[in-house]
Amino acid sequence: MKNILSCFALAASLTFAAFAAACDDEHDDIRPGLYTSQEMIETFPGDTVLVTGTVSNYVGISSVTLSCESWGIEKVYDLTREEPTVFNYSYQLIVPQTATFDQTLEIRVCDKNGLDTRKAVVLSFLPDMEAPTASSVPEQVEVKFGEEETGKGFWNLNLSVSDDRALKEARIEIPGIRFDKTVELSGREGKIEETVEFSAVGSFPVTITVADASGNRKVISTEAMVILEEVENPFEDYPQMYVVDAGENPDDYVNGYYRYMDRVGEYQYQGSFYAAGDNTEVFFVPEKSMDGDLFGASPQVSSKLMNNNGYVVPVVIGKAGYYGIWIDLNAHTYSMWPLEIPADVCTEPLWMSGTGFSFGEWGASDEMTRTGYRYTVETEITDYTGDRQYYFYTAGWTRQFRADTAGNWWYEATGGTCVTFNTDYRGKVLVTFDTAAPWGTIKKIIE
Amino acid sequence: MKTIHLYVRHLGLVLSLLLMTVSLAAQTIQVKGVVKDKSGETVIGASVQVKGTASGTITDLDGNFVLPDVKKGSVIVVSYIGFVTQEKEASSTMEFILSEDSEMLDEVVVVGYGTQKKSSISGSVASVKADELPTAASASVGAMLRGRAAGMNITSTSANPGGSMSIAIRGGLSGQAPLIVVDGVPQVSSKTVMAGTAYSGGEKENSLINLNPNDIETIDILKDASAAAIYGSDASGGVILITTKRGKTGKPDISYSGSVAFQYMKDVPKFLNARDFMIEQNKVFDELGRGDEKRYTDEQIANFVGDGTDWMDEVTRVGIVQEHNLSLSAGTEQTKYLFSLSYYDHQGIAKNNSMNRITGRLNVDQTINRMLKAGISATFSQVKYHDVPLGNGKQDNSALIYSAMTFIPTVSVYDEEGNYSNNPIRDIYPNPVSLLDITDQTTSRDLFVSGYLEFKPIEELTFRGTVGFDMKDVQADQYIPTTTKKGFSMNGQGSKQNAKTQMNLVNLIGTYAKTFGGRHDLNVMAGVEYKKSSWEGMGIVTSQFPYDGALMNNLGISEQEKPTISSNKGANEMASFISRLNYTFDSKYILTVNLRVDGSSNFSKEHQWGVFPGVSAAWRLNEESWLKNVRWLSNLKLRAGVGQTGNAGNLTGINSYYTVSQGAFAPNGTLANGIAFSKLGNENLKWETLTDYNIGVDFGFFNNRLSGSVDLFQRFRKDVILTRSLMSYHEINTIDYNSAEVYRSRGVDLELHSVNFDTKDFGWTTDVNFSFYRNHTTERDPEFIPEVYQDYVEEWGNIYGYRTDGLIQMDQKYTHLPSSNAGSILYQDLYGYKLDGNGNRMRDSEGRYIRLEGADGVLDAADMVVLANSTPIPFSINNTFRWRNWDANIYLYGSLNGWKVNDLKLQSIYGIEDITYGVNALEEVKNRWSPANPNGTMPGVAEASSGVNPGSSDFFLEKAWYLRLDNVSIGYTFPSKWFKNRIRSVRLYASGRNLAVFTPYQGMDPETDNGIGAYPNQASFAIGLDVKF
Repeated sequence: MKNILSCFALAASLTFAAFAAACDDEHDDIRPGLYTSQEMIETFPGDTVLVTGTVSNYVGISSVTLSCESWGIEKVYDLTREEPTVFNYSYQLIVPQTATFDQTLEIRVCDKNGLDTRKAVVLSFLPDMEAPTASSVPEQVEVKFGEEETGKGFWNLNLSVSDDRALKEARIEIPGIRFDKTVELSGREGKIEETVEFSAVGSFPVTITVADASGNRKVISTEAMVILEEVENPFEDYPQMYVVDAGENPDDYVNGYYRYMDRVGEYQYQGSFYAAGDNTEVFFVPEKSMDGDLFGASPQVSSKLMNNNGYVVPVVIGKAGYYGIWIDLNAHTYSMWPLEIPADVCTEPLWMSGTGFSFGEWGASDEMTRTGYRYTVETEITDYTGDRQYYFYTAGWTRQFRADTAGNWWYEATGGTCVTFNTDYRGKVLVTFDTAAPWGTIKKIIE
Repeated sequence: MKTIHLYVRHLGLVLSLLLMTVSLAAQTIQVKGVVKDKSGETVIGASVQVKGTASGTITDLDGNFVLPDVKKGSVIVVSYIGFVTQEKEASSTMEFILSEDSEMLDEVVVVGYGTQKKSSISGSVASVKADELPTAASASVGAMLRGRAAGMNITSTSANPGGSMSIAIRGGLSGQAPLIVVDGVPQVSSKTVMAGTAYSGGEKENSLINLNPNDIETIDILKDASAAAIYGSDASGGVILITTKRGKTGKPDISYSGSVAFQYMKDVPKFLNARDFMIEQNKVFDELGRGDEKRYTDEQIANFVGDGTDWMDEVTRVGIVQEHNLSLSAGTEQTKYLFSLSYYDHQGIAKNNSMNRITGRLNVDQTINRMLKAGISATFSQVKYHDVPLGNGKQDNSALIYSAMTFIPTVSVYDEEGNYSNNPIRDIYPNPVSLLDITDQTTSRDLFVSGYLEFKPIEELTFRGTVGFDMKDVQADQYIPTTTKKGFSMNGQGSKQNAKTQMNLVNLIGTYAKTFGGRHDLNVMAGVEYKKSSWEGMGIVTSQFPYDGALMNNLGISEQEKPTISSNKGANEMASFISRLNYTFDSKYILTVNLRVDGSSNFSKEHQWGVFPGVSAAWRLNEESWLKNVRWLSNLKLRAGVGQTGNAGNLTGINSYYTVSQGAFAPNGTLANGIAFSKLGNENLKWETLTDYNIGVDFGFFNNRLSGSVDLFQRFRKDVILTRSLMSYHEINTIDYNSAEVYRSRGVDLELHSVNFDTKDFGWTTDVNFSFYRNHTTERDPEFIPEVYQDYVEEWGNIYGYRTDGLIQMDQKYTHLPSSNAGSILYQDLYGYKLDGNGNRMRDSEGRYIRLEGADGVLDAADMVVLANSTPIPFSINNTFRWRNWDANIYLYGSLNGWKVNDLKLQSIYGIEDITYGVNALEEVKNRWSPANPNGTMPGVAEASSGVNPGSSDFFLEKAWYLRLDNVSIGYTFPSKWFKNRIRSVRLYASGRNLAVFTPYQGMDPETDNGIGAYPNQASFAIGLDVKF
């Protein structure tokens, strides 16, 4: 029996030794590391201050304490549960309105063995140097002039303003009508609501100056366009809209000139567009024709969308790039925003295939030339008895870009339909396909 | 009458006195004794006789015997089948230790639909006895079998609990897994169930995990097709025949075995600690010319103490494996049974990661009468996995180990609010500890029952009918809570997937065995078999949960409009005719002929039936008169065989079908589902065939002190089913077809067994297994055009890529590497294309572009060469020792060849720019090239923009041969007398598993998955106890 016990004891000892060896701690405890992102904090009463930093050590931290008696601060991070070896503290404090400055905020980190490290952060006063901010105001605002009814025009100014400390006043100046009014403000946020009366049409520069308690100022400039009511053609809640490049001739395109926009609500449409250069001009049409209803910007107020073919001017996209476009025919407004290009956009070699082209029935075009996400290839539209179709694909057909037969919706899939079209044109064409905002066009090459 | 009676009484008295006188004169004694084998086990039923007399007895259930009235000086003879007969002079107490008779003990080998004596085997069959395998900390029989049979290469492809293994017999030329046959009934292959979400656990072992290793008696591996052809189209991957233990005649035999093991991570790569991370990140910002984006000030670094958060430490632990096995077996001449229960629990080294299994087995054999016998084998197993997400997903798809290796070390696990900390630089990477909140459970249940009825009208003829079924049900549940990045983005995601598979089998086999004239040994077997396999499953994946509490247990609360729901069902059937002839003449000349005809529903009527023949012959030279007297030669047998197997697999290539295509069409501008033609069928598809040629020699010297076998094999795979591309305008542009390609495998298997010492007190045996093979593609499809760097016919395992020559130094610029700057890898421009007068590339007669030696200023496919060949050369060495009651084992296995890309370095160095986003990197990035460290050997930040994939070069390619010290164990068997013979034996042992790996490979492990994010391998230390009552 003694032998049995000895053997058990030996086996247990070996096992325990193996276990203990694996639990060995490599480091002796030393004072924890303490880093504060600010040695000194400049602030002011009522300010919100973020105190950040990192504490670290080998054995585990039990607490981090931030304290300033005169400001009534005593923040303790109790970390005894996890005892992390690194901890990033981020403490947000509000400076008391009655605070006195040139105080110290003591930060103390204590590890699980009681070793600690301390640092003092000086709290000093920061003069106000920041100007107030205001909600955006367009460069031009439209004021309708009621000629027959009132002989006046009224502009309802509605502006939100804010300051990081305290607002004081806002001054509205319209020299053209000798309007000069100061509105008292207080607190960190405020509103300016005024109705300004115009008695004649014309362009009236407006200056709004918002000041804070420390005298910092924000100056806002706009132009009140007092105009007679513009005549607009009737319009409907169309099933779709198309965005077109006003700088291009639709007759130069065999396919793809009219770029589809989804109807996303009553009188509201959304789509995307690639602006090839700065100041690209676009129109919006409900049908694949430039002769019917046509929406553009008012020649008097660039932010106003309206339907008057021959009267409206194109909407201008200031910078080249990919844009999302949203229009509201009823509200007479539009907005554009740069599109974020997804990470998995195809940049692989691409080929075109289809029918009715010089590369043969369902043959392959030459490899398309890629510039960014745009691929181009020259081919030729040849005699062909059936419908012409086309789509794009990568090597091995691992990725295919197809569209519905009308060519309104392009999508990526492993199979499906193709754009189907007919044309009397015979000759060379430049085919372009954009993988970032999938869209294909076929443009005649006139030599 | 009374007088007669009186006479008789007197006569009896006189005779008694007379006999007593004689007895006293002869001095009889009573002999008491015990008979044991060499392992100390008592031998029941051994014959004990007084030599030269009819007096004798047999040993009882404890191996004891008593012989009264034995003449002093008599000789006691003890004999038992399979043991060398012993004689000793009689004494009042005797002990006989019997040793095995290697000649008489002709092992019986299971060969499929029957058994054969090992001596009359002519095919290539390897046998492994399960009780010779170390069980501690092994979940699967597969893990225990690694390296135990030459020609069977088993590698772990994942080190997680219950992780998957690859079993390739003779090079795995067929691409199919071996057929597993348990007690004569094939096991249905399990369906792998995936959660259908971003995360999945490690790959699981499906083939052998449901078996309790302690239930297994023997494992026989049919390696060549001459033997495996009896399983026809299921056997192209080889056949593993498992025979479980059955009850034996005698008193109840109760045994318990149990062990507990502690597991520690091995070979975990070292990633930067927090301080080094900050320093290296700042350096990388400088090297990228983005110095103004630095995140850490010098003061911040100087004030940092410690290593930061060790994320590996946060998500791992000491693993514990415990197992308990209890078995009871007993039997009479009529009824024999074995009942066993086992419990195996593996708490993995990753937290929340576990696998546990319970199994139960009941084997019963009942002799009904002289002609009828019946039996049943039933086993149930349940394997439960608690998985953690594993894999090499990046960014928001990062799984546990990858996250732990690469998550930023400068933040704590929890932030000040008690929430999981984020990467403050780029908040897309999941906090590694948050991934432990994912619930991922898989439960696999298997009910495997077979029964037989054996009818023996005459001694030589046996009919045996077998009915069996294997039902497997896998349920996989997963919930990704909102505390994880992925779960948060979907308001939680739940998944329930189920897969059921079932195999029903019935066969009727007739066997006629007779020895004619003492020299003609004939064994004929014929039968029919029908097998049906079916499968079905369904699953749902949905998100948008109002709260996490219900996990995936109430998917109905999901607010997702269109959950992903899937279901499937299918079946195939096979009818077979089976026959075998085994003829042995004079115990010298052996002929075995197998023939199987399979008809499968996987093919069209024209190609439904496949014929799979096998023939082998053997010559036992040592039985020839001219060798019989060579005393040092115990065994010499030459074998040769040829056979054919097929592959019907899970082919669905003959059928055309449509599937619902999700989101492929866009009517009204929105994606919607539709029906799409998905698979183009080919009715002309027919069986793949695998033809196998084998010659071998079995030998034994010095009374089999040194024995073994050598086999040379060659196999061809033809009519290979491949997929080819159709013209682009087809709606479906691929189709399955029988290719003209031919694959060939050639190799040699060597097995050696040596009894180095065999004395009463000390024994030492050594087993060596070695395999060498090479697979080739020897013929191609007519339209095949090799790559410019590729041979028309080629060896498998070739690794093609660019040669490199260190790193580009400052002021060096290479035309063929226009995007590579200083610090990039210098890929070598070795070849160019031969161009015709028009500048077009010229082709040779095989259609391959012709290349010209010498630089052409362009790095392209022409510059690729064969860098190495990764075909393994597996081997193993097993040593067992015995010293009195002590036993020990040292087992090593490995591969003499191997090449692997060190993915750890590749990912860490190639993605060095990611360190600026807070992604941690290997410590070795400190040795990267930079203007300040021009002697750095790792590529600098410029490599990422070189436009060349370094994985296709020899830069990160490393030798990966290895020698693994897989098992070191020591045990002690306590003498039963210590327990007053109430306990038959008690063995206590300690073992270490996977203690060391010797390899030049610097990645995680040369055998298991070595990708960054792979589950680390473990070393185990176990103690165990075996008790037999």
